[in-house]
Amino acid sequence: MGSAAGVRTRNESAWLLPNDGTRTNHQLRRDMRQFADDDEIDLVIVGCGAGGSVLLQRLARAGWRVAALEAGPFWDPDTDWVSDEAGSHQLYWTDPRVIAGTDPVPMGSNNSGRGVGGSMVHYAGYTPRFHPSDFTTATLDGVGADWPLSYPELRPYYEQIEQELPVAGEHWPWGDPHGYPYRPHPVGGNGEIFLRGAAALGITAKVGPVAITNGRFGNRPHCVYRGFCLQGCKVNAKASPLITHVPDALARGAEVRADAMVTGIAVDERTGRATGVRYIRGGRERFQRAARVAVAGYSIETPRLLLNSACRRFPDGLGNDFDQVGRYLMVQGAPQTAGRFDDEVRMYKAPPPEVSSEAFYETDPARDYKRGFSIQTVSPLPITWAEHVAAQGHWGSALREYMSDYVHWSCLGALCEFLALPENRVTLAQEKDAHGMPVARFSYSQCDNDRALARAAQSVMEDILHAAGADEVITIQRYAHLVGGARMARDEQHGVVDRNGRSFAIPNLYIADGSVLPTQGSANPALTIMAVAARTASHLAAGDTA
Amino acid sequence: MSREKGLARGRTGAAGRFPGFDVLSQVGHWDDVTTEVVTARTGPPPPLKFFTGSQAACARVLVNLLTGQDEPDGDLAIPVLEMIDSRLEAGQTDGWRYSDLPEDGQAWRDTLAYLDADAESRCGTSFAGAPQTDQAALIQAVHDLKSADWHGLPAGHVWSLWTRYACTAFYAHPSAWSEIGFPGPAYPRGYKNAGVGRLEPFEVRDAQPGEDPVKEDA
Repeated sequence: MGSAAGVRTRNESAWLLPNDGTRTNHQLRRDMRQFADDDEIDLVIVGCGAGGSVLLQRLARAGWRVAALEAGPFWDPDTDWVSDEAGSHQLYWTDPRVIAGTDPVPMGSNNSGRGVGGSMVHYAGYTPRFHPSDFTTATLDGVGADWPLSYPELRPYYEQIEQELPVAGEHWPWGDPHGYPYRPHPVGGNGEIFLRGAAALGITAKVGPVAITNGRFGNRPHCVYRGFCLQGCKVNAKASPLITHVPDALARGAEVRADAMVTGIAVDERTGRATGVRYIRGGRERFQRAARVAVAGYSIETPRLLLNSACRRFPDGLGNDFDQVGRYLMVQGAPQTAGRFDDEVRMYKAPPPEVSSEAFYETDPARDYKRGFSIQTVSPLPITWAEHVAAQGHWGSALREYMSDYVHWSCLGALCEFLALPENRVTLAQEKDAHGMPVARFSYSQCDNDRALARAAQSVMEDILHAAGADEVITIQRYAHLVGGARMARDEQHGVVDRNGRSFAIPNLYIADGSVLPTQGSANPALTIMAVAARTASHLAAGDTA
Repeated sequence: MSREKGLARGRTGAAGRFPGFDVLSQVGHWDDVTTEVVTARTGPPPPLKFFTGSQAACARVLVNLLTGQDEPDGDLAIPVLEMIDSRLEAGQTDGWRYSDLPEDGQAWRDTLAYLDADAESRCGTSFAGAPQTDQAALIQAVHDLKSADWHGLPAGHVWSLWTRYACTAFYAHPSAWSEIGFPGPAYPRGYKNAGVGRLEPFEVRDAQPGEDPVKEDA
């Protein structure tokens, strides 16, 4: 595995952060290059999260003139983030969205970020790889889709990103077995319960993989185990692009233009090529010219932007000649099961991501469903825990009594590979946002395979908690992580972009975020989104022949 | 009801599950930004701006019932209504709404009016003016409808709206954290003694570890 020094030669981010106890290199931001709107830059990126930041950093390193426009702020963990649940509301994308379908998916804190770093600012920090089987589920299992890209083609990018975050964990026995650059973290009460229950049942569970430094990494300090990973890491220990890719990008001449909401991509009707993006900053509409445009707004905003960019040549939305934009949007089923112990677990005293098992990830021919699920520790804080309790039907004094029992509970979460279905999609609602742009309407309905998976996952979690000694268990049905909505495919009739992230319809338009994923596996998607973006960047840097 | 009354008293302080545990005694260990955000919740609540007079009267009873703050001798007074009012006034939603509900502010106004209408037909008074047992029964009725229709809205989505806003406000308050043994903000100190049964010097062990609410109800 690459040493820290080896990483530094290709991504210096961790060494560009301050080492005096503060978290932001203000000098680097003050000195940041700023391109003029009418300067045709090599690439403008929409969104500065997992995908956009990696693309930005890679192409800045390749000498490109590149800028990322981000709708949210350029965070400073010292002054903008708090060690508090309710006070972290501004980390989420809370512009209006409408959810529909038979199983509507709540957005906001659940899956949507805002600001430089994107939703990785408030993700738990789990960074597993996809399994090789995820790339060929149609061939193997007759469900989902085959990627136009194979696991071995993505592996080198997984390895690079795991070193850059960096990832800590035990040797990983599942999928394509591999090690991690950093040793696993010690576990808290919740991880201990999971390991104990799994061992009693003979289920393999491992510590990791988490993108939280174990020991110093550059100028990033060791984790202090405060448990507020989902509220933004004030320590700079948990990886997000804000500290893993943006600093290096700025040092190499990239611009991050925060508080800039892109509302449309312009296309020259004669050449059919993108010419730049319309955006609103400081209440004024502006236009950034660019030779290429890459969209990295994630699974809701990316399709919404393509649909809102309709023009004469693309009356139904950019690249939507075959009605593929917004479709096959996936969300992982994420039932969470908690167990009650007379001992005090105090699950808030450690990062929520501690221990995982991928023992149920692959299709089991003995079962009546395809694909599978993973199980991880989740450790909700009180406001989120109150949702679990309220979901059992408790309110008033009963709710308060139940809540007073908080320190005795351990909580596991499953990620179920709900299948990609064409009708699960983003369209435009009648309702408009503050800029007058139609908001996204996300319709989502489960299929029978999805429901069978969620039931199976719940039953395994209940078994693990009982085996660890729980006397009672409760479950809440929820969702986690979005991917898809502008998927990659072999041809334009089955997807929006090709294997390199390039739009089939517009040769200088790219998509570099989670929306290009054709399947989701049972893995948290952050690492895969970054790896796919890094691969797209390599393709661009090697010579875009558009 | 008598059992619930007993529970409502003395949840915190010497008679509660975490005797002597007071989250605010640890403020000196918190970072400044977090301290400002959290201690602001303990000051005098801001005046209501979003809810009008009759809506406010109805909403206050509703959210206090939902968070168990309806006991006259209850020992917590967390300004849940004011916290919800501030959010709605600022348009600070969760970032989504169900397609079969109006946007959050309007949904609150509409559903409060429906509660008043239910109270009118059941007791001939407004919801706030109804006897407490009727108020509880009216709310329970909405809960029990699950996904069925309530005044043209799916009851479950209404219940989700009410409890999300009420629980988020209540469990944002340090007094609620003290009640459940949760120490609140943990930066820059962090934790050194994680693991089953292990405590930090500033944490207090549960005085009634066998008080499992699930077992009691069984």
